[in-house]
Amino acid sequence: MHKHTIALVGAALLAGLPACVNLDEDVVTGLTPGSYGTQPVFESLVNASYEPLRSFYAQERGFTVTEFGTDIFTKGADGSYKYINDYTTQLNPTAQFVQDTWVDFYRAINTTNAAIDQAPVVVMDSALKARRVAEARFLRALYYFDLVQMYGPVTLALHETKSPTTEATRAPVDSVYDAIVADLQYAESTLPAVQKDYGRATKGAAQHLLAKVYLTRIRDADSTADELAKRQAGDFANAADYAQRVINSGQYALLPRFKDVFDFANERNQEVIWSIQFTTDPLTTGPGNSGHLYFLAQYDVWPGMTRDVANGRPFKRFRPTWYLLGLFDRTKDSRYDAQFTRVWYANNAANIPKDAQGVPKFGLGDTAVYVSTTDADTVLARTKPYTVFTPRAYLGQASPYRDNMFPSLNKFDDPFRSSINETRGSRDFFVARLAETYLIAAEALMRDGRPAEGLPYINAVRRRAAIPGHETEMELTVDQLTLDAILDERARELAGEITRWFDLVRTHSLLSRVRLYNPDAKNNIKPFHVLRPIPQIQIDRTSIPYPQNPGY
Amino acid sequence: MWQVRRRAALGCCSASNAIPAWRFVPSSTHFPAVLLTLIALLPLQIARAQETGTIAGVVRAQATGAPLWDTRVTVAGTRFSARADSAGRYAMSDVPPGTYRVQAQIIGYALGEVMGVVVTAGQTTTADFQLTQLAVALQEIVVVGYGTQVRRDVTGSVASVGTDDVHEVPKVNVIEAIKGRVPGVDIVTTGNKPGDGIRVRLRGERSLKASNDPLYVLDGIPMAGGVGDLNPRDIESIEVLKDASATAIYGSRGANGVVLITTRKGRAGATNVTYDSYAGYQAPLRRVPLFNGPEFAEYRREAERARNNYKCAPGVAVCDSADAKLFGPDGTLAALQAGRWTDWQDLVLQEGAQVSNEIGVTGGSDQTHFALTAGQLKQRGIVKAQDFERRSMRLNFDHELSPRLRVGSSTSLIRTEQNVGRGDPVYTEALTNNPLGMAFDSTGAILFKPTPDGQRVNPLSDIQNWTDDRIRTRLFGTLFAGYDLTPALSWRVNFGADLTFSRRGQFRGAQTQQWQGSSSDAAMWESKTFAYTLDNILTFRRNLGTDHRVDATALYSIQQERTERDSMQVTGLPYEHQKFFDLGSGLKPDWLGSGLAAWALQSFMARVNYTFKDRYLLTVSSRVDGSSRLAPGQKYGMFPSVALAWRLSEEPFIRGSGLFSDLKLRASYGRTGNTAIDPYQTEGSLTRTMYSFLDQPAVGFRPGRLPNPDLRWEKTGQFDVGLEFTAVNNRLSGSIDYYRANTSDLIMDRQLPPTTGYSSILENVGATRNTGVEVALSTLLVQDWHGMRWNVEVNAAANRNRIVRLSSGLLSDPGNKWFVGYPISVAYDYQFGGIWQIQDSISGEAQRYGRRPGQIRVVDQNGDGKIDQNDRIILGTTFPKWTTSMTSRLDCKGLDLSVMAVARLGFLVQDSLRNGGQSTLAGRYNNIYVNYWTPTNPSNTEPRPNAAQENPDYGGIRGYGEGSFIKVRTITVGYTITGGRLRWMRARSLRIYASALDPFMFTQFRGLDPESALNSGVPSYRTLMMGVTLGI
Repeated sequence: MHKHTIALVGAALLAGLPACVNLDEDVVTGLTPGSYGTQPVFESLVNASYEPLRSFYAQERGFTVTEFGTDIFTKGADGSYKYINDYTTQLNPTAQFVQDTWVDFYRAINTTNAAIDQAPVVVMDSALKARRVAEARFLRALYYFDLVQMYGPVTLALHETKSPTTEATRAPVDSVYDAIVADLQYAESTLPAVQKDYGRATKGAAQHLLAKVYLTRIRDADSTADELAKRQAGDFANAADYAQRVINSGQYALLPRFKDVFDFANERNQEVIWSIQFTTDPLTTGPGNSGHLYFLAQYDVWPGMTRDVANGRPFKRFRPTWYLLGLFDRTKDSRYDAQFTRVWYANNAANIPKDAQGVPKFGLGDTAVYVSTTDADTVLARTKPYTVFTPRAYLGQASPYRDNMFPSLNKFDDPFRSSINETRGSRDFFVARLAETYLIAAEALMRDGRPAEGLPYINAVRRRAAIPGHETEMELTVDQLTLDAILDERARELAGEITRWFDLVRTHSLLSRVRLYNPDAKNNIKPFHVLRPIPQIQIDRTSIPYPQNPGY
Repeated sequence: MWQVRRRAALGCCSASNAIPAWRFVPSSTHFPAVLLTLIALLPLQIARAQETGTIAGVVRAQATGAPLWDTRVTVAGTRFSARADSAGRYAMSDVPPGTYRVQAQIIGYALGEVMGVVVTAGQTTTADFQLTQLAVALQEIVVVGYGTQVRRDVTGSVASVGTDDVHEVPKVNVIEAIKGRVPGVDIVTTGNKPGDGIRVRLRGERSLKASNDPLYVLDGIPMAGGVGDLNPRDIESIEVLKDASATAIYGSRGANGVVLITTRKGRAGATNVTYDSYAGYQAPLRRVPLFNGPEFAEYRREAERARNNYKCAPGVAVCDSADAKLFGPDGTLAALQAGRWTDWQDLVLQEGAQVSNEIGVTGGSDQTHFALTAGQLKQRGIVKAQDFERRSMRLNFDHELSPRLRVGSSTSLIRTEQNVGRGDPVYTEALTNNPLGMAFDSTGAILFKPTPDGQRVNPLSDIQNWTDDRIRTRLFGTLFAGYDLTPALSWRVNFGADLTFSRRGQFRGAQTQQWQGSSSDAAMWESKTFAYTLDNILTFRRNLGTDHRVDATALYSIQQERTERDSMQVTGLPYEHQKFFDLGSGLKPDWLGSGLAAWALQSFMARVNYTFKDRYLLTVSSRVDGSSRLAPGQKYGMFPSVALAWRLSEEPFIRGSGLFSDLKLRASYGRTGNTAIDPYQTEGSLTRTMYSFLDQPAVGFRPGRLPNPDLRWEKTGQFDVGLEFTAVNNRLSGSIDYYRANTSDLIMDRQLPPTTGYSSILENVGATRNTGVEVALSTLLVQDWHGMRWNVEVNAAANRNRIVRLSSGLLSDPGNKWFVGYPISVAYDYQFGGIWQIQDSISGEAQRYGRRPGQIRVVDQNGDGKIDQNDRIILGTTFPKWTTSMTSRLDCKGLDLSVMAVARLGFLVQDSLRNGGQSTLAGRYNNIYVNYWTPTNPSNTEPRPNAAQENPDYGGIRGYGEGSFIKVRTITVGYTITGGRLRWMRARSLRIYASALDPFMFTQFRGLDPESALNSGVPSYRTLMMGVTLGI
C-alpha cells in the first residue's frame, strides 16, 4: 500500500504542479494603438475619418440643428427636439444634439489627426499617401467648419490625443478658419478630380467647400462691418474663384430637370460633386440615410390608407413654414410639385368609406388624401369622397391637423427599404452639388460688388428649375439680385439639405427671418442664438475655465 | 504566533517543513514549487515498526451512550490516527512503546482526551472515550473557503443555510434558497419570464462601474459562469461569507461577498433512493389595469377634444357623426357601437405551470461514497410561448484508497433551454393594443393588423412568429485528491473545469411587429467558454498541549478562462419554417461577428486559525492575486485580513450564570478586491467603423479607448464587529453584526473633455462606503409540548450606502446620477407637482411657465420662474433602508407548517408602466387605467389626454413612489410518514406537501411588483404546488 501511495502522490504532484501561468495579455480580437504605422492601419484610419459624417448628415441630428428654428421649417407633431425649433430654455448646454454633435465631431477630428500624424512613418506609395492625407485634411476641415459655425471659438486640436488631459482652451474663430483654409488648400492642390473609390473627397469637393468657407467666414459680429472686412480680405473673390473652378472644371453639369437630381435611380449624377455614401447593404450602411422619416406627414390614418414601405414611415418632425410654401411661383417653378408630396393614393381597401349601398366611394389607387394649397378647396372637401386638407386646416393655430398634415418634402423618400419600420435608407446624401456651387458663385460675386457677373449663375439654377416653357420668365434681373433673393433661392433649391441655419447665420439674417416666418420660434429667439451653447460636459470636464457662449 | 511555531517544530518534525505557509514572501513566485518539493519528500519518512503495541477502544456519546461512528482518534504528537467504526470501535497498531496522550475528535462534540496511555510491545492498551455533546448551533460544521470549520471556531461573519432550509420549498434558482434566510443579502428578480435571472447584493453595492455580484464557489471551485444553471436539488448547503475576514481568502474577488455552494455527498451505509416530484400552477400576482373598450373610446375622444378635433361634449350620447369620423377610419366604430372589445392582456396570458421530477441515489461503503442525481424541471410561463426546461445529472463520488489518501470527483451535466419568444415586449404589445380592435377574423384566424395603426400588430401573431431560444449546455466537474502527509498535515489538489456552450437563436417572421409583413430575419449567437481552476492546498491542524490549537492553510491556485464567440444575422429568409437553421439561405447578412477573450489569475493564500484555551480565537490570512487583466507592474495585489474572537461563554463568569451555552464576540478587518475590469481594458483599443465607397465596404479603425497602464484593483477595506450567542438551554440563538466597508480605487470612467476625442478613460478614482447592521435571531418557542415543536427565526438588516468621492474631485455627476454623499443608485429627476388646474390659468401662474391647465406641473425647486435642469433633485434611493424576514416552523407528529414573510422597506421605485410607454395619453394606444384630467374632472395625478403629442410633457416623472412591501414568500404544509406504516411499500419515508410561493403581497405601490428590478414586462406570479418526496 505504501508503495502505491507514494506512486500516487508522486503522480498527483506532477499533475498538480502547475505550469507557470502567463499573465501577459494577448489581444486577438481587435486592434490596439500599438498597431499604428502600417499601411492597412493607416488606410483604415482614413476610412474611419469618413464614418462620423453619417452621425450628422442625413440623420435627425443634422436636420434638427440646421432646418429647425429657421424661416423654412418648423415643428411637426412628433419628436423630442422641438425646443431646437422653438429656442426655449431647453436649448441649453445639456441639449442632446448640441452635445452629440460636439462629441462625435471631436472624435472624428482625433481620428483624422491620428492618420495625419502617423503618415510620415507609413511605408507606402507616396502619391497615394499624399492623397489619403489630403482626404483626412479635407474631412478635418469639414468637421471644424461645422463646429466653428455652430459654436464659434472652439478648441483647435491638430494632433492626436496620446494621453489623458483635462485642459482645453477655445481658439479664436480666425485661427480656426486659418486651419480650415490651410487644410482645404492642401486638399485642393493634392486631391485628384476623380477618385477611384466613388465617395472619397475630390478636388472638386475641396474647391466647393473652400468657396463656402470663404463665403461663410465671419470676421465681425456686425453685419455691415463683416461685409466690409470680408470684401477687404478678398473672401468673396476667393469664394467666387473656387466656385468657378468647380463650375469650369468640366467634371460636373446641372441636370436638365430639377426633379431628376433626386431620382433614386440616378443618385450618382453629374450634378453631384461629393456625397455621403449609403448603401442597401446593412453591413456597410451604418445608420443609413434616415431623411425619409422626418419630413413626412401622417398620411396613413385616413380612410383608404395604411402605412406601407412605398409611402414611408411618417415621423412628422419637420413641417414647412407657410413662408417656404409661398416662395414658389407654382405656375413657373417646377420645384414646388417636384419636392413636395401632397397626394396619397388609396392602398387599403379595408377602410375605404362606403356609400349607403355599401359601394366603396373610391378604389385602390385612387386619390385618398389630398393636401391642397388653397383654402378655396374647402368646397372640394365637401364634394370629393377623399380627405382634403386645406391650408386653413394645416396652418391654422387651432387646427387639429396642424402638426400632422402638410406638404411633405420628398427629397429623401426611400421606397426601397426592406420593411415598413426600417429606418436605414440607402440614398446618398449630397453635401456638395453643383446647383449650390452656382448659388455660391452668384452670391460671392454679388457681395464682391460684381452683381452682373453673378447674375448668370443664379439664373442658370432658376432656368433649370422652370416648368418647361417658362425658362425666360424665371430669370432675374441685376436689380433683383439681392441677398434676400439669394437666400430665397437657396430655400427653394436646397430646402432640407442641411444648410439653412448655417445660411441664415452667415448672412446675419437668422433673427430677422425667424421672427418674420417661423411662428413657433419668433417670440423666443434672441440675438445670442446665432451660436449654439458649448456642451455642459465640455465645461464640466475641463479643469481650467472653458467659457460658455454668452446668453446660455 | 512564535510560540506556536516553536512548539510545532518540537512536536512534529515534519510539520516544521510546512511552517513557511504563513511566512512566505508573496512576491516569490517560486515558493509553491519549493514548498511542494519539500512536501513531496515527506511521505518517505515511514515509521519503523519493530517492537510495537496497539491502542484500541470505543468512543461513545456521554449523554446517550451511543457509539460515535467516524470519530477521529489520534495519538498526540505522532502520526498515528484511526477512525471509529459504526460500533464506535477503533484500533491503532504498530505504536512504539511509550506513554501517550490520545485524543478523540468529532464534529458536534467537545474534544475528548485520555492522558498517560502506556503502550507496551505486543500488548493492546485500551483507551475509551465519553464525548460531551455541544450545543446544536455550535456543532454545526461550516464551509469557510478552502476548508471547513466548526461553527464555534469561526471568527468571521459567515451565514449558513443547511439542507433543510435549502430544500424546504422547491426553487428554480439555487440562490433563491437564501432569500430571506440571511440578513444582509438582498435578492431581487431581474425578469419574470421562465428561466430569467436574479440579482444578488451582499451588504449593498459598492462599485459604480464594475460588477456588484458576489463570487460563487461550487464545491471549492470559483465559478466563472453564473449559478442559474444549477439544479437546486443537488445542493447540500449554502454558506454566505460576508465580512472581509471570511472573504479575504478570495482576494481580488472577495469584495462583493462570497457564496459557497456545497453539493450533496454520499454516506456510508445503506443505499438510499429518493424520489422528488412536484407540480404547480402559476398565475400573475397582479394584472395591469387598462381601459376597456368604452373607456378607451372616451379617453380617445378626450385626447381629440384637447386638440379641437372632437366637438361633442363629454357625457352626450348622441355624437354619432363625430364618433364616425374618429372611429370610422380604423374600423373600430362597429365594435364601439356593439359594445364589443378585446382584452388583449387576457389573450397573451395563460396559466403557468411548473413540474419537476428528480431521482437521487446515495450510499457507499466505509471507503467509497457516492451520490447520483438526475432531474428535470419544466416551467411554462404565464405568457404564451415562453417556457424553460432544465435537465441535469450529477455524480459525486469519493473513495478512500488508504487511510491517508482520498480521491473523488463531482461532475454535473446540465442543459437548460429558455424560450422567450418576443420576450417582455410581447406583453407591452398587448397592453398597448387598441381594445376596440379585433384579434380574430370571422373564420377564427389571427388578424395580423387589428387596426390600420402602423405601429401596432396583434400580439398573438408575435407569439406565433417570433422565436428566441437560448440553450446552455454546461459541464462542471471537479476532481480532487487529498493526502494526509502526517496526522496533522494534509495536502489536497482540486481541479475544476467549467465548460459552457451557449446558443441563442432568434427568428422573426414576416408577421411580426419587427417586419410588418415585409420580410423576415434570423440570427444566431454562440459562445463556448472553458474555464478551469487548479488548487493546491496544504492544511495543518494540530492541538498543541491542551490549550493551543492551530489550523493553518496554504494555497497556490491558478485559474484561466477562454471564451470564443460568434454571431450572425441574415434578413430575407426564403422560407420561414427553418427558423434560424438555414441562415445561408437568407437574402443578405445583416452582421457577422466573432471574438476571443481570455484571462488568467494566479494566487497564493495563507491562513492561520489559532485557538487558545478554546476561548480566544485568532485568524490571520492573506492572499496575493496576480491577474492578466491588469497592466505589467500592476498585476499583483495583496489582500490581508485579521480577525479576533472571544468566546465569552468559556469564561467562568459567564459559564457560571448558565445562561449562555455560547457567547462569542468577534471583530475583523480585511481588505478585498473586485476583479472588476474586463480583459484587455488596460491596453487601449481601436474601434472598428464601417463606411462605404459606392457599394464597396470601407472598414476603418479609429482610436477607441486610451490605454491606461496604471489600472489597479478596486479595494474594499471592511471592518466588522459581531456578537453571536446561544442561550436559554439552546432555545435562543442569534447574532448581531455591525460593519463598515470603505471601497476605494473605484474603477470609474474618468470623464475627459470631448475635445480630446475621447469621452473617458478607465481609472481608479472615487470611493464609496457601506455601513450596516445585521441581526439574526432564532428561537425555539415550543420545544416539546404534546409532540409539538415551534421555531421562529427573524432576520433584519440595514445598509447605508453612499458615494464618498468621484472622479476628478467632482461633487456630482448628473449624467450618471452619481452624487457625493448620496447612495450609488438614486432617482434624480424633476419632481412631479400635480396637474395645472384651471384656477392656475386664471391666476396666470400656469402661463408663467408656459403651461396650460391639464398639463403636468413640475416643481420649480429654485423658484426662478422657469423649469430647467437646475430643478432636478434627488428624489430618493432605490436601495431599501431595511430588509427583514421572518420564518415560522411548526412541527407536530409528522405534520409541519412553515411560513416565511419578507419585507423590503424604505425605498423609492418608479412605476415604469406609468412613466412612459403604457401611459402616453395620446389617444392612439391603449393606456393603463388612470384618472386623467379633463376640464370637468380636475384630476391632480394624470394630465389631460392630448392627441397632438406623442407623450405628455414631463411624462417621464410620473410614477415615483414608495416601494416598501411585505410579501408572504412561502406557506408550506407537509406531512411526513416514516417507519412501519410504510413497510408495505418498502419505503423509508414519505412526505407529502403543498406550498404556496409568493401568495400575498402588501404594498402601497401601484405598479406590478416593487420587488422586481424592472417592474414592467411580464408580471411576477404566484405559485401553488403539491409535491411528494419518497425515500426508499
